Amino acid sequence: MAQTESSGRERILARIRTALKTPAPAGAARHFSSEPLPIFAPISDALERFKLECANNNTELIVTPDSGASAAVLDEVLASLPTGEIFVQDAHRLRRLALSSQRRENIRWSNEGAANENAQAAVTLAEILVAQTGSVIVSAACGGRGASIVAPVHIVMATASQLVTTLEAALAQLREHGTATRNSYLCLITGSSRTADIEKILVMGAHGPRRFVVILALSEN
Amino acid sequence: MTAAQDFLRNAATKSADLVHRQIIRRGIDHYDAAVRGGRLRFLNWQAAREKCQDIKREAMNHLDRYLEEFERRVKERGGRVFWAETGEEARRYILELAEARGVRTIVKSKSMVAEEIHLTSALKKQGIQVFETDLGEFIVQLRDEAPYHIVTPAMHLTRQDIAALFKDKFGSMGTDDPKVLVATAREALRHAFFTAEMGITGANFLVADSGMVSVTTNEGNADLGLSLPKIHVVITGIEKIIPSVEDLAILWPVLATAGTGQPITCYNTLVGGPRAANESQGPEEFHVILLDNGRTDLLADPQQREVLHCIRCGACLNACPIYRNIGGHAYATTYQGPIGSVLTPHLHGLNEFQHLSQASTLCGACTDVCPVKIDLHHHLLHNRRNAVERANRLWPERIAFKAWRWTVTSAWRFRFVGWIARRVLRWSYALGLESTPLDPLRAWTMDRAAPPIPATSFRAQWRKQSGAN
Amino acid sequence: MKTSAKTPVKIPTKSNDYSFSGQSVEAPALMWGKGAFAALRKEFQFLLGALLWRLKDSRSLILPYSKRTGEGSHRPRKVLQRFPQPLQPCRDHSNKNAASSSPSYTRLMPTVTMFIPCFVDQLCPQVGLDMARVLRRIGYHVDFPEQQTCCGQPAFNTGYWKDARPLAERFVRVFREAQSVVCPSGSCTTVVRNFYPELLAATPYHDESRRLGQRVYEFSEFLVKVARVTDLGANFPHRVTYHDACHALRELRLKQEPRALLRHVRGIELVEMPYSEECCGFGGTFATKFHMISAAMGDTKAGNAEKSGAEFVSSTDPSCLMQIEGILRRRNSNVRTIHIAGILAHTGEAAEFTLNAGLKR
Repeated sequence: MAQTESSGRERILARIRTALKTPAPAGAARHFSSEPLPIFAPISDALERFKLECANNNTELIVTPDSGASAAVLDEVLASLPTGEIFVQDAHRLRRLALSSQRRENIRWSNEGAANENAQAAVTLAEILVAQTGSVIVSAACGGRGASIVAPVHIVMATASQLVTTLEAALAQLREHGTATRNSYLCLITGSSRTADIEKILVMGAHGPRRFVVILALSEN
Repeated sequence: MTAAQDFLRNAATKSADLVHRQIIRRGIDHYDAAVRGGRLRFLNWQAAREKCQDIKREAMNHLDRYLEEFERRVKERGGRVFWAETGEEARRYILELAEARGVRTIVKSKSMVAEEIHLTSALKKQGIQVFETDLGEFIVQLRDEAPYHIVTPAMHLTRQDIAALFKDKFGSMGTDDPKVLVATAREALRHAFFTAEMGITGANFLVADSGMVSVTTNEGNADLGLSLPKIHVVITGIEKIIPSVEDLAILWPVLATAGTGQPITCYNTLVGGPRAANESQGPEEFHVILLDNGRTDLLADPQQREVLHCIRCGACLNACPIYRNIGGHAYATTYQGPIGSVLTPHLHGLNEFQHLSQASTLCGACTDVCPVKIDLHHHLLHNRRNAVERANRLWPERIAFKAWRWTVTSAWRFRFVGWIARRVLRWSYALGLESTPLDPLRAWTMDRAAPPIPATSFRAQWRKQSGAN
Repeated sequence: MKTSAKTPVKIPTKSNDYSFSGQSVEAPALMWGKGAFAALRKEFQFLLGALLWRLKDSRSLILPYSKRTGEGSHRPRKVLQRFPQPLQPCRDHSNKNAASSSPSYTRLMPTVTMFIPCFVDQLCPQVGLDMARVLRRIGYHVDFPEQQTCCGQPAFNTGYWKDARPLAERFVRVFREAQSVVCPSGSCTTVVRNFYPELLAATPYHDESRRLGQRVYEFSEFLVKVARVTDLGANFPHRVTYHDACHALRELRLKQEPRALLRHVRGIELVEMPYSEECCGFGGTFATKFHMISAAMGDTKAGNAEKSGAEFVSSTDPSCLMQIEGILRRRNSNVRTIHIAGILAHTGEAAEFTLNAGLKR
């Protein structure tokens, strides 16, 4: 198997190299000169843009003044859900959260294993928030793969310092900080799971979460 | 029956089906409205197209280098890369892997390449249960049909059709409320996700500088499929490679806008390798199958190399007036619409599939909407030229064009033949032969009225007017 | 959509009715019996008349065709002496709107060469005649090299490039002396301008074809961009909708030009039809090879034209109009087609000479 594997690889690469010896003809004249025009409108206020985009893509964004208030909001949100397992990322920040005892007894930490099929909610941190599209980037470090997808409600605890203006800046940051190298999984989440496969009618809540909640603390304290 | 005859028969049936035309028109109207809004989010949509074209051009121009870099990085992450020259090799790899690992259930998210190599039927034959997890694919799988469209596989069905299908298969209530239908599908597939031993996904992009695979869905089914099962297999064509992860900053929004009119798709996932040492959840094995299957032949044609730039957004299908009238099934190929017509002869033979390049008016709507600026309608023309030069054409047609050439390369022959033709037609129509089997223009008058045939040609009238001094 | 083959096709036979070619031709009767005999007799009379006319000008029977009105001959100029056209300065029809008056009126009779597509020559000659009339009205001397036949599009689009190539070379030779070439068809202009360089890539005609391509214009493009006229003094008091022919729209990038010309027509009501940019389904050999798809596309287009409430559909391409007209007639629709040259040529003035005077049967 190894023999044919490598020779298949060699043959394909050889064919590619032979093919590329002939350059493709120059394309049609371009509309634009050497100065590349801006493709997206510049974003002046990242937070306002993030709020706007979240409203458009069905993300429940709750802005709180600080982490303490965030914890209280989290408690509220969890209280509104039916009783069941709450899958929480095993992170220092989340362990420190002052949650009521009712909530605490239903919690299953991510280091104890994968989320259960019938988990009611998942709570994770995030890597980066992107204002341009109102998105949240999570990694495998945020509760493992699947943490953000399995439960019908996904709650992200984030701070305003994680907010980045453009998608380009976010991806550059992932590369620079080695987030992409350290993790085997990254996901740019924009809103709740949806499908338009039936008559092009948009329906929320396909295989992923029906509710996507972002609790954004404006300051770290 | 040859593929061409099949196509003509299907096209005839579908063209006459007014209900079908209405359903498709409704779906495409939704899409058009969404895309119009979507493009406005770009300050400069044309500049976005050109940037995407540049990225793909760079990737194709150094395809070998980027593929090697990608492979190296995937291996560094603990994944395996298999280079399959043909669909048969790719299938065999997956079947052997499934066999060796004792896989009984597979969850699969949408992959055109998997359709191309007929993977699902091969797996089924081996006794493995395969669940399509994309809702549209799931629906057509239940109906035992091929996907109708590369982005919305169930576009040809009404909600009543789907409700009846679910009632039949799952004993559900029969309501046609889309929310309930989606919830039914979710429940039906949930257990499969948690019990499957292998998840198979396609790839929207292969990112060379990170060794990661980009998979995009709105439903989140791919994420479940690559998180829960023990083994994750990616089946992809070699042309999906892009140089850098930052290229996704423009490719993700453009793909979403052209594909559905959204600013960006709900879940854009980057996955590389099996679960890392410090990760709590994820597959133990990661396999990427890089498929050639004729793509290097396309690369070797410098004029048509840019066809490999396709990002499978489906915009050209929605724009094509032929697609709008005959739908996706009539093509009877994996790839439908303009991109399918251009690509299929290269992947599966010019002789057998040249008819797809001919079934077009070369209107150019596809080229106008392509987000990576592939000159689709000109490639259809090139396919036609290649078919005449290299493939079989009916000899009456070859003779007809030789006769045509003889006629038009001389002014007097042209006048003469034109005069004869007009006389024949005028006499035929005077005798009432229009729309009868003896009508010389039968091929035209079968469907439309014949134009009034003038007694004198333009040049005769011109000569008379200028000669009458 | 499928109507019985027996339904008689209604072609307007009143003298100022417009068929898609704007032609006031009495269609031959379509039934057996007295009508057929009368039609055949008329045809015979016509043929006899044509033969006698040719005998009158006996030179035309003896000399080869090219010697009569060949390239570079002076014959076309005699037209000016015959017809009541003021030479200089021309009646300024566009002066109603000062912004569009053209400096070309004060130049001495610039020449424009007509490229009449093969099917216009044979099937809808009125389009060419209307185009010539309009060009003359704005002060151009119109030339028609009789050596021209076809641009090669049928063979070219079907992939028979080897057969199309000699024709393209011939075309370049026929038009090489022309200053500006004007064509009443977007698709034929596209073939010459956009595709001849590729077709003739490996031949000595390559560079010349590229230069020629820059001098070839579609009719409405020529009027708006070269002659810089949008008001042609036309009068057409009807509701008209415009069909964006694919080649004109996407290859020549003409969207506003024909509409600008139509908007200045007196009495016209220009309405937009839904999906005006969608293909009509003609596509050359596609119309017969894949006739069912072509008919479905034409049906959609005809339906949209009817939805617009227009009386006439106009376009830059007579081939599109032939397709749309054929479908409209089968649908027993009241909508008719007319080429843009037909609208622009129509002034409705009694003293207007007509180029086909004397040729009406």
